[in-house]
Amino acid sequence: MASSAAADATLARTLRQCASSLADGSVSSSELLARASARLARLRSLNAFVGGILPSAAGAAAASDARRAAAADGGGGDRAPPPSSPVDGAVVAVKDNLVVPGAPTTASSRALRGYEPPMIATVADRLARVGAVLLAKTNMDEFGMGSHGVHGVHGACVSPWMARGQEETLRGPRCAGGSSAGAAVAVAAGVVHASVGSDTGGSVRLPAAYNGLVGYKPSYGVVSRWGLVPYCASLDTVGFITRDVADAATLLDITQGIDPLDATSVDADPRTTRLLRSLGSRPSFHMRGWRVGVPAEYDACEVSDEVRRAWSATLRACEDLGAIVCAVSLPHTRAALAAYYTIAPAEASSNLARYDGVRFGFGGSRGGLSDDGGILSDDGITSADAASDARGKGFGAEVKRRVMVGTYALGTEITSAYFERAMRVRALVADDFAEAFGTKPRRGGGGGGGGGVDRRNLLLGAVAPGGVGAAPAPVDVILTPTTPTTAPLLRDVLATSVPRSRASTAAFAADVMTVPASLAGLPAISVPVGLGADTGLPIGMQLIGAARGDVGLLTFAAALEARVASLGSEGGGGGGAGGVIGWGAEHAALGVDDADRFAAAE
Amino acid sequence: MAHACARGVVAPAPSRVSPRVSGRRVVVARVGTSSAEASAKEAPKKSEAKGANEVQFEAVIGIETHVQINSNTKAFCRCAAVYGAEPNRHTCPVCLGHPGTYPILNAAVVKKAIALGIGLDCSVIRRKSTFDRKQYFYPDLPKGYQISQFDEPYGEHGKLDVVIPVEDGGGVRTIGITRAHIEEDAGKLTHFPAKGNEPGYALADYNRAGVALVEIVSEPDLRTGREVAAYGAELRRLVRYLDVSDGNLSEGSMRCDVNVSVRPVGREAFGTKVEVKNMNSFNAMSRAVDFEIERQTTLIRDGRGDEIVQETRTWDEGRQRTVSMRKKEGLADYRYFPEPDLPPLVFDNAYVDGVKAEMPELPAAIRARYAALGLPDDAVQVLVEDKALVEYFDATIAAGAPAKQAANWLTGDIMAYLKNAKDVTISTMPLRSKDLAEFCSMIENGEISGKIGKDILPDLLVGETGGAGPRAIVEERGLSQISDPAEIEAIVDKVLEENPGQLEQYRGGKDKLKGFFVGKVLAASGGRANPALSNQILMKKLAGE
Repeated sequence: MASSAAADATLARTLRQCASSLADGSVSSSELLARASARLARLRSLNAFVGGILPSAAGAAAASDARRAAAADGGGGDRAPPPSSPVDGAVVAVKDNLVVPGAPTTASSRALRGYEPPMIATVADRLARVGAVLLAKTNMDEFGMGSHGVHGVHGACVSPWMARGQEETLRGPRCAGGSSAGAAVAVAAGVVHASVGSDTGGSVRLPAAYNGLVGYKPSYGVVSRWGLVPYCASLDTVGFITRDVADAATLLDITQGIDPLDATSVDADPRTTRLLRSLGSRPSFHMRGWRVGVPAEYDACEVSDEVRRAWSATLRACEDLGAIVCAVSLPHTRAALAAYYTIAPAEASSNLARYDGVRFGFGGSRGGLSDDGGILSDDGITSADAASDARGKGFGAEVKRRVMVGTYALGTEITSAYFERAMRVRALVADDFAEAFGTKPRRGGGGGGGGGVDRRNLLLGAVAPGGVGAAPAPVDVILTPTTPTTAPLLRDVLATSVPRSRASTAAFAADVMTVPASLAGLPAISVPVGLGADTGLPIGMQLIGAARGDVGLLTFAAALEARVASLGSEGGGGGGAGGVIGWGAEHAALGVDDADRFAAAE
Repeated sequence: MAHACARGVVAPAPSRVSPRVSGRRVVVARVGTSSAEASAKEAPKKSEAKGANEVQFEAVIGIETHVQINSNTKAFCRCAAVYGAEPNRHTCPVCLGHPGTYPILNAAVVKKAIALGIGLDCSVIRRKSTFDRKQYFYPDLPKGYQISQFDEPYGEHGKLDVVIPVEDGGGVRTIGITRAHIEEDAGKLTHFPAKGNEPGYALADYNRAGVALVEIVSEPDLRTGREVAAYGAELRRLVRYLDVSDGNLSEGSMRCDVNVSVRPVGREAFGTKVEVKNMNSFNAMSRAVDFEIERQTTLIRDGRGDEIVQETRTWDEGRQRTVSMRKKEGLADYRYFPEPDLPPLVFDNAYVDGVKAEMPELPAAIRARYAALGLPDDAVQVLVEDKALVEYFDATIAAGAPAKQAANWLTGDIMAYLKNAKDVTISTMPLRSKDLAEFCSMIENGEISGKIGKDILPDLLVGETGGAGPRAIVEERGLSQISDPAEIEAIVDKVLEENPGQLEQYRGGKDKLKGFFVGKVLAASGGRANPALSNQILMKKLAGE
């Protein structure tokens, strides 16, 4: 029987390491589950989880152990064990906007208090079918609306990371990032191996960057949305938060592919299997000839010094791999944020219309209906009043704000000025990326107005010099910081967010780096590259791939991750990027240690 | 605002004021007030002719019809689409709008909708159309929005040839079809008013929620209640022929919302439109529309035109009047936007051709074909009303029956029999089309007389002939017509011999007795004598030749 320490240590490792620990018998799935449960309870103050351990967890762990025992008996019995999966017996957390039977799904909203879904999300189903032990649901911003994990009925989520800078002003609990806040904290604090989250405008990448983890948003449609409580349906993707790129690829491999229950789902990419094999053997350190694009537009004033320096160092690390770093122009980047904060609330106002208290949702006062088909009841309460009451009580301040903004933006009189305009910007943003990746379908004739969008009506964003007319060679990936800064102090975030600061859009700026890829439906991944020179907190770099270029993106991310790991072990002594960046196992362990210190300080 | 124009059926924005009324008409009826021109040219009706300067009004009417598609399952989930089940029996997380559920478009619905678009002669069948969300809060709408098609309906610019009632001049008019689009139905609320201390409440049944509809919007080409009813009837005929809908008004599988406005004859701009709902039959539609036209005209005549407001009125069958249901002053903003959960609906020409190839012959084509056969109009109408009747008739003439003879018997004695018969339809009655063909041919050829035909038809209809066909029956019962002049002569001679008194009177100038002798001859032959021949011989003998 393995010690609980061994189980704890395994929990803090990758899915692949877990798989080998389970395979060599040094730990069992049931032990992992027991330790994860204990750890979850001990780290309650991080507020990463909502509700208890899922009722299916114990059975799943026992079944996994039984499969291994049967296999060890020489595949005894008349039934052959299912093909071994890298997640069989591993402990995985699920964001609370993904439905799983046997437990409420609240999406951190009072409007869904006590709502028990009658079905299972496809992503959770596909993981459970190959043996993953789904531990519990994780805290989030209400319906995914938020970048800091503070807007939810369950309260703010807290990052386990503590600032390592010297100044007093840096001290204090850090924001976990959002909206998949709990999903990131659960991994960072060593409670689970990996989490399933969702990413609409950066919701897995952002908390992953703040917590020193890999956050992967697949191309739109690659992983089925069935069972994902919608926020902005045209942007919503299921995403993964893991300890390394290979784990992200593993989860992709298991969950990707067309789903008859989601009309926007697309076929699986068969190249994923080959990628996994190559990652399993030995990641390539050579990305010779790969072109890495650097968009000047992302070098905004919001980017902090430490992040900017890490960005430069990461570009040098790419060159170390043999890649060619070159400038790309994404001229509509600045407008992307405004477009996102028009489109997402607009769709949200529609997707959240169902929470009217009639079938589910927070029961408001009972509405009456007149017998002539009107809505006036004899006691003067209309069904509209009842819905209004249910929604007023059911939604939090940030959700209300976005629903109001979105409702306004879709008004018939003004939709052309807001929603439709934002959709045109969105097409332009996608165009920018397609241009950079060389994936834009070439149309005959000059004029340059490709993509069916008329640029003349849009005076948005600055066009970088040389960005027009030049036809630079296409790039394979684009590299930007994931966030302009490291994780902000929780108290600062709370001070500037609704309802305390009603007009504030400051929090939206955190999404400036992640939103463009979402608008274009592109795959993007945040990879930890080091600790900030000033704050000592994790910095994530975002790699963006071409549409459906998930495998290429993950290939490059794995190489970069390996290079950054080697820089980490060089310990700053090496030349080039070393000293500024570097991320190895010992860095990841800092988060787990911090979580323990956090719990001890309680 | 282009959107608003597209939605406006009867009274679009003032910028778009030319209704398409006459351009496509095939036969223009110039009786009554069936068209704008007709009214304009005609003198005022006598009853209304109060003075030479009396202003004449005409109604401008457009119809929005919701046709429930009779697919096995709902539009976006696998729930059965059936009428009359126990409440909420056929629901699932998708049609109940549970969070995390998404719609999947039913291919059968698409196929039927496209068939309907082709049947409506839409010149535009979009190879790529998109879905949108129409948003409003109401407890019968599970998601808080309805999946519909707004900017890009799958079908546009169609037409429907409508048979105009004889009272309105008869003939056929072509009514423009603005658009046809796919959408989903809402649930059904049942209201329970307050009783004493118990507050009122409503119960929701979502069996209907998510059932596929095709909404068909007509151009404002209609003018009278009877035309409206005729349009509805023709549309129902079409959907039933195509088997895309049950077209049942009382069960709600076909629902017509009629937009009525009134304007002085000669004015182009539309009056204020009023929507009239809840008619359970075409007859009720006709009466509701005429009532509404009269109501609006009277208000304008009385100088109270401002009392006509944009509103929805419901038809009160009991009181035979329209009643205001809700005013549209605070007109709902449906905030349409593209449905992100459904990719565009895309299909190629081959698909459309395939649907077309499977489509049956439609009423308009059948009418033309029957007219070419020389069938009288009223027989054509009766036959075309029922697809099964058409199939039977076609099989009968294919089996060699003379068309007029077959139409005559089918729409006469056979329809009368079926009307009263229980549990028997044209498709299940024992008289098969080949037997009817034989029957008709025998009459046509003079093998039996029409009288004998009438006598033996009931036995053939109920199948009391032991499977024997008309000819066998006729032979067995010895009923074949006597066409041998010698044989008839003998009968005539016998009749004259037996009635010497009457013969004398006749020859004395009492011509009316001719009928008496005709009857006697027929009776003496057991009804078998060839009427024309016996008539000829009788006349000769009576004249003493």
